[in-house]
Amino acid sequence: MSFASTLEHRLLCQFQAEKGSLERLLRVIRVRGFDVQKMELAIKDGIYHLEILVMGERCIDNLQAHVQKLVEVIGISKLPEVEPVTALERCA
Amino acid sequence: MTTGAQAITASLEKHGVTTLFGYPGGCIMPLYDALIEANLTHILCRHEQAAALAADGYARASGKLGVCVATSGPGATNLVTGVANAYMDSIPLLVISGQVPSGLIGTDAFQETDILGMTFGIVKHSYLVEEVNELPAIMEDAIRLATSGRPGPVWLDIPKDVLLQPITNSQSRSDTISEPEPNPVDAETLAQAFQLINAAQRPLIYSGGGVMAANAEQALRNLAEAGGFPQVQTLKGIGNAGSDNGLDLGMLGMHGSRAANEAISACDLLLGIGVRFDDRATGKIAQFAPQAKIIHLDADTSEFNKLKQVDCCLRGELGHTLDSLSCGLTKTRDISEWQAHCRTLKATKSFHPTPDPDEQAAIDGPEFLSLLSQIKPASAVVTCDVGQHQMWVAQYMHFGHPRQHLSSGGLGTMGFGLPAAIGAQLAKPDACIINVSGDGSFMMNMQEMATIQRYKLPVKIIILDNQRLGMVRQQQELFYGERYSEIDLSDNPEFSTVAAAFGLHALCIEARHQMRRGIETLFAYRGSMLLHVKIKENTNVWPIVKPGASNQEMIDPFAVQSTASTTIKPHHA
Ligand SMILES: Cc1ncc(C[n+]2csc(CCOP(=O)(O)OP(=O)(O)O)c2C)c(N)n1
Repeated sequence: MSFASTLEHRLLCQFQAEKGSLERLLRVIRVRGFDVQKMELAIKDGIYHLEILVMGERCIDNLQAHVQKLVEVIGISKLPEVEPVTALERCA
Repeated sequence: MTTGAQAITASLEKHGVTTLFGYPGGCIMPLYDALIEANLTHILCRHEQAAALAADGYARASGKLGVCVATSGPGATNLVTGVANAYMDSIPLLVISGQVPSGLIGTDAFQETDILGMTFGIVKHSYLVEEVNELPAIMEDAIRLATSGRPGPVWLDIPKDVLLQPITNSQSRSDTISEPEPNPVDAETLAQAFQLINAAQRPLIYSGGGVMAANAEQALRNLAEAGGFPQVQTLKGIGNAGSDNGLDLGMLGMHGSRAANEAISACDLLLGIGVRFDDRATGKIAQFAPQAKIIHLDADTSEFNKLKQVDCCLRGELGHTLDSLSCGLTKTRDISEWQAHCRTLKATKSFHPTPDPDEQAAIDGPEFLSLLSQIKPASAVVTCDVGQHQMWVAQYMHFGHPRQHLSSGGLGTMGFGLPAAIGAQLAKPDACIINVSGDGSFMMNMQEMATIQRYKLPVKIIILDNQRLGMVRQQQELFYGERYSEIDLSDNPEFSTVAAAFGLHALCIEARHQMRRGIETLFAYRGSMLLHVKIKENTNVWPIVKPGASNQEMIDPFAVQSTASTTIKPHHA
C-alpha cells in the first residue's frame, strides 16, 4: 500500500485471559502483515497485559483497529519509542 | 435438573430460534438427546458442510440467526468451509460442535481435533466451554455477538461431559463480553460529509453487503432518491437499489457492467456504503475511482482506510447514518448532466443479451437467465453456486431486494447454492426458491437432494451445464494461453437420472426453443424439480478484468468503440 512504511512499533494491549485469547491476538498480528520481534506477557486478575514489539510494512493503525475488534481485547495503544517498562510494572 | 445440553436448547428457544441444521455423532449426542424434547426443528443435512451452508442460507434469506450443529473431529472439520463462507460475508451464525470429554482433550483422543485453534481465522468469536454453569451466559453472549454490530459466526465447542453435567449454579460470567455500541456519527464528521456531497458534481453510490446486514436498503434508497445519486453495487449489494431504478448501473468490478466501472472512473465523489473495497470489486486499487473524494459508511472501524485512504469515515449503524445523511441533505449542486450521462451509460453499457435468431440453436447461459428473470415470481429467491453461471445471474437477473439474491461473495464457495436454497426455503416456506448451479458446483453438495426430498422442500434446481469448470476454462483461455488443465467435465453423470434416483422430478433441455417451456414447467410443477439446461460449452463471461489489473482495463470483445475497454477476439465455439 502506498501509505505504508517499514517500521517497528511498540504496542501495549490488555485483553481477557480466556482460552485461546493470546493465540487469537498473535494470529491477527501475523495475518495482518506484522512480525513479532519481542513480547512480554503478564497476567493479573484474569487480564493479560502484553507489551509487544512488532515490525511490518503496513499501516499500524489498521492493525490496531483489527486487534481492537477482537472480543476479548480491552484496549490497545501505541507506546512511544522510549525505554521499555515491563508489562507487570504497567499493570501494577 | 437442567443439563448443559438442555440449557442450549432452552436458550435457543428463548431467542426465538425455530430451525437448526446438523448431523449427529458421538460427542454431540447429549444435545441430540435433548433435541427430542425441545421445541426446535432439526434439519438433518447429509454433510456437515451443507448443514453450515444451509444455516447460512437460512440467515441470509430471513435476516435471522442461522444455527448449525456437528459432532467433534470430522463433524467439526466438515463445518469449516460453511463457517468460513459465513465469516467472509458477515452472516450471523451460531455453530455448536461437540468435543471429546474434558479429561481427554489434548490426548489425541478418538475424534479429537483442536477446532478452536483451527478456526480462529473464520469466526467473529469462539468458546471452548469448560464449565457447565457458564453455559447459559455463554449462549447469551454468543447469540448477541453473532447478530450484533457487524454480524458473523460464533462457534461454541463443548466437551461431551459438559453437555451431560447438570447446571447447579448458573453463573453470569464476570467478564461477560459486550461490543461497544457504535456511537451515532458525530456532528463534525457529518458536516464534513455534507461539505463533500455539496461540492460534488458527479456523486456516485457504491453499496455492498453491509446494507443487507443492517437491513438498511430502504434507508439507502431514500438517500439515493433525496440526492438523485446514481448507484453501483458489489456482488453482495445486488438488490440494494430496488427494481426499475433508472440510475442503477448494476454490479461493478471484475465482471461488472461497463456502465458501472466507467461511472466509478468518472465520478468525483464516491459514497461507499457497507463495502470493504474488495479486490474483485475495485480491481487495482490505486486506479480505483481515481478522480473521487471518498466517503465511507460502515459498522466496522477496521474497514476504514484498510485498502484505500478515504476522505471521510462515518462509523455506525448503517440505517442511522444513512438517515442522518438523507435528512441533512440540503440543496446539492445541479447534477442533471451527470445523471443524464449515467442514464446513457445504463442504456448503452449494461447487460442486454443478444438473442440468437435460430430457435434450434444451443442455449446461451445469459439469454436463458434473462428469460428466467422475466418469468420468475417477483418475490423469488435465487441462490447461486460459483463460476460463470453465478456471474451471469448477477449480470442478467434483476432483484428487488438483497435477500432475494444469495451468492457466496467473499469465499466463492462452490457447493453453496443447493444447501443455501434448503435454508432459504425453510426460512421462507411460501417463497419460490431457485438454485442456479453449474455442473461442477452442483456435484459438490448434490447429496442434499436427499434433504430436499425428505422434508419435501419445493426448491427449484437449475443446472447450467457447459460440461466444463467454465470459469476456470475461461481464465485458462484468456490468461494461460489456451492451455487447458483439468477443466473437462464431459463425463458428468446424467443429472436427470441422478435427480430421479433421489425421487425428484427432472427435465432436460438443450435448444433455445425449449427454454420458455422448460422454465414454465419448472414453476408449474408442485414440489422440487431439477431442470438440466445444456448450454453452449465455451461461452465466456464478459466483460472481464484480469486479476490485478485496473477496472479501466476491462476486456470486452463486444464493446463498441469504448475507449475504456480493451478489445480482444471473442471465442467462437
Ligand atoms: C470449493 C471450490 N473449489 C474450487 C473453486 C474454484 N472455482 C471457481 S469457479 C470454478 C468452476 C465452476 O464450475 P461450474 O460450477 O461448472 O460453473 P461454470 O463456471 O461452468 O458456470 C472453480 C473450480 C471454488 N470457487 N470453490
